[in-house]
Amino acid sequence: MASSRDTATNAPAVRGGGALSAPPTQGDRKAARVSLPLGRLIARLRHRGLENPLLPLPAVLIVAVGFFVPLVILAVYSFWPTVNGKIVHDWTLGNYTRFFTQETYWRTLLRSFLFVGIASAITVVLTFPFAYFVATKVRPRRRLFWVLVAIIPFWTSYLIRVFAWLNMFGDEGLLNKALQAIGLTSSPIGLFGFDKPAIVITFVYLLFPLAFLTIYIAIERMNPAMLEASADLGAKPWRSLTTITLPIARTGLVAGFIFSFISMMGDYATPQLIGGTNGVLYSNLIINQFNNSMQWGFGATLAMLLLVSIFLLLVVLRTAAGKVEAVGEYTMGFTHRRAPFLLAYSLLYLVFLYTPPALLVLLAFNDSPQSGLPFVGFTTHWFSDVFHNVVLVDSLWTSVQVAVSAVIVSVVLGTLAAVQISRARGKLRGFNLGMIAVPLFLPPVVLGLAIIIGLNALGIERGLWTIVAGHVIITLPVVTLMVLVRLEGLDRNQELAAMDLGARPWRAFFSISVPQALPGIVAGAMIAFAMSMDEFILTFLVTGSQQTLPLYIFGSLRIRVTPDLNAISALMLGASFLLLTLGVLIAIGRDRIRRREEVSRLPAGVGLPS
Amino acid sequence: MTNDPQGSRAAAGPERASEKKNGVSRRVFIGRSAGVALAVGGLGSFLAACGGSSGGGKREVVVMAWENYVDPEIQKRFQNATGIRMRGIAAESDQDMFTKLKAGGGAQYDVVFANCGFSPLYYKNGLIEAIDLSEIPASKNLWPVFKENTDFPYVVEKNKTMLYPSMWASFGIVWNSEKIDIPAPYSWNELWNPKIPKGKVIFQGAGDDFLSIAGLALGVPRDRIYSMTGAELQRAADYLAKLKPFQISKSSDQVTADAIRTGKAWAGQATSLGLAYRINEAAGKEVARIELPKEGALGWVDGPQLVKGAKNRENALKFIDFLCGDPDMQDWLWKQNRFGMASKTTSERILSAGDADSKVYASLGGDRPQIAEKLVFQGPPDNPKEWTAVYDKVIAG
Repeated sequence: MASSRDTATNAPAVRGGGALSAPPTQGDRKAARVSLPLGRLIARLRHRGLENPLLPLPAVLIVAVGFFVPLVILAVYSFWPTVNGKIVHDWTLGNYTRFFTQETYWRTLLRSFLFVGIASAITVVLTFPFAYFVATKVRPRRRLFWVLVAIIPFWTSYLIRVFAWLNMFGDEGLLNKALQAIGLTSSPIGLFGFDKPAIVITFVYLLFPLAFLTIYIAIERMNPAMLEASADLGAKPWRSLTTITLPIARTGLVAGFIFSFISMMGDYATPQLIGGTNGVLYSNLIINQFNNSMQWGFGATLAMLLLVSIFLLLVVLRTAAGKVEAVGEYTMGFTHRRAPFLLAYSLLYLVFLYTPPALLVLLAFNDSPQSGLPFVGFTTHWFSDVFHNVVLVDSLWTSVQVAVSAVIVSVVLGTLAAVQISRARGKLRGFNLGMIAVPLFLPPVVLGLAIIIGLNALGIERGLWTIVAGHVIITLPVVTLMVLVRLEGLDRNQELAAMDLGARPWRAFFSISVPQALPGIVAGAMIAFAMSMDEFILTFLVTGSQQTLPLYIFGSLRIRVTPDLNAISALMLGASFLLLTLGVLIAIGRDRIRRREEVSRLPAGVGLPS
Repeated sequence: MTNDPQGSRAAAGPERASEKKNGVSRRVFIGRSAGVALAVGGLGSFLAACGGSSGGGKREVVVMAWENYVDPEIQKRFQNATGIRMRGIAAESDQDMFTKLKAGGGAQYDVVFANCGFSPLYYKNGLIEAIDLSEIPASKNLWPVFKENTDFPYVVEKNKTMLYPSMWASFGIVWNSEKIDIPAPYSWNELWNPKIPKGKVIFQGAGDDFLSIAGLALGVPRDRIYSMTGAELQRAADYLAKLKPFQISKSSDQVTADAIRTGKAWAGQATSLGLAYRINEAAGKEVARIELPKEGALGWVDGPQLVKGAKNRENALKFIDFLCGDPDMQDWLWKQNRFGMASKTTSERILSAGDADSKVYASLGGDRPQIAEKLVFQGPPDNPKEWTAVYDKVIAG
């Protein structure tokens, strides 16, 4: 009896088309006889099954309507003047002229690019040794633990992490106090004041996990045996670093730089909260045009110029980074040689990562009516205050509603899109993938402004649904890409086998593909949920009168910091930690069960490789 | 058509099976996919709608205000008294609230607070409706001057106003007397006193407010402070830039009070002469002083405005009546804020208590509301575009 796999393996050759295509049925033949092009198109589409190009259409349409249409309106607004707070529909280059003739604006753009570029480079440079250590010096089975420890802070609220640093900086901040306590300085030093260096430190802290992941993934693909080979051939460590490691890690380094750069350029909250009047970046000037003076036309111009500048930077970086040739096989190998300096550096980095949240947790138990040091006594009443704060609880509920809605829409539409994209080849695949992924490369501040301008231009009322829509545009690409990565690694023959055994495509999809893609779907859903629960930059712009939890936290940080904010922070940190731990335990448990099953299937006396 | 359905079924068997296996199921697949997509869209909309009453619920009122007017305590008291849920949205400044309403959020709110200098801007833009004070029973308790003097920018005509007057005060210069000594005659220029370390001056509000203080310090007369333009405005901006970095308290008197009390800020602009009392009360000793500068100060009358076309208009009127009429609520507002009260009844109750609070209230001029008639009210500049441009230069320079 031929195995289903054998049958399935032969199937595509017989069918001569897509993996799941089949001989035309009577209905298909009828449709094919229709002479109209539309009829022929419909008939052809029916043949395509899971390769049907219509599957990504809802996702592509959402991005097109929610992203490109507002962007076009933003571009149009940039050519219209604002008179007495109202957009006048007279075409003009006045806004652009104003940008180039008033040095405040073009200089701030240049300065922000330089500042953010340096901050992104620092982020990548400081992250590289840690990522290198985890990817090459840690035993493969322990790497998951290190990766989790490194990214746990990324799963906690972005604003909470900024808040944590607010406690560290300033004359009365922990850093200056610590320096004075150990006698290194006699008075507060400017480096740890509320100024630009503090913004850089906070940005590095905020974006470290993201940079770590991109660099780590790139380095982990490297076969450490190559380093040993180069050493055997007499290369010094720095030469191995520059000729082997860095070229291989180049894409990861560039990706880490790009994501850090885009995140920082679009962030108007961190500079404002940490740097005060000395922390103004270009994005703050954009927001000023929308907040105080209602200069929407000029604000749209500033946003468009930011967009163009980032696009040019991406082109330059893409050209500079080039394409990395495949070097060696992915071996999960590691270098046995000890690396005490790298280990010490990595441990210090973890101290850097965990000190601010640890301070927040400590302050959550501080029995002081002021939020901050000194610690005057132990209390838990700030936690009970949190649950009695109706505004906070309402905000949390709103956030959950938004996140659940965004996750459901993103998971379903993203999975449908990924199913087709993973099977498609050629220009259509590139188009769909590009369309869905493009919001990832745009600062959320520009997206938010484009949406509010779009809504305003179309006379659409803002509300909770506009927040959901905005979040879907951000989460949909993430879910699609995560499911896609998973689906592309699957053996599609199992689906074909199921089809040959009589399963319908729908059933094969749900019985074979979905369970196999489930880790990607769940991971995508979790990341989408976390992103939505934490989203602030865009939400602040597109909300109506609704207040999500990040908006509540931002309001508290901007208007009045109270001790219960420490308690919320501690609760959110605890919840993130618990969820991740739970996820890891489930993953480990599943892995053990799988291995046990595999062992039980083996003949007696044969063991699995560890 | 066939007379042999059985045979026909048999003949069509393999084809039907093939169709079931491939063709039909694909159609079903695509159909179901589309169905799922639609259902998801619907579900998303439904979930979104669950919390998206947007102020349309019958037992709700949506209020946008500075944090002191959307305090959870107010929400709790209002709900207990009326059964109506108040949803409060904290905003940073007059400019912030105006922008949110103007930028398409009108239908989202029922009540928006403002300083009275901004009310005409809302009114001209058709964002609020004038309040007929006869609709609000508490209005009979107001000092007559606040509802009858048409020189006030918010009074449309006698007993018809753009905002319901709630509290009022005058700006002042506040400082930590343990950190620095500011001698008479007091001037806004003391904020530029070289003895005050960089970064130890605090302002409250938005850029327009800071520029106006700089203008006053340079001697621009109060009554044309918001008309500054050209070189005069640029001079004020340059003067303000010299003070960088300065601290900003967006809309919270409490932040200003805490900063002065703890020495985080040594001096600053206070939005009320009652702030020093709040600071000293919290410190348990005198650490703060406040004075009216010789250049004069700006002032304000604040209060709720009724959003035009408010979905919960009746609830909005009940909210205004409760906030500005309920004696306990009024006493709470006074204790929390230490501002002058526009309600004559409340003022007389505070003064008649004969305690320390009464003396403070009298010292603030709470018993002399005619002082408010002499204030130049905080408001929007005549040329917001130019003011924004120079403030952009201040902060980005």
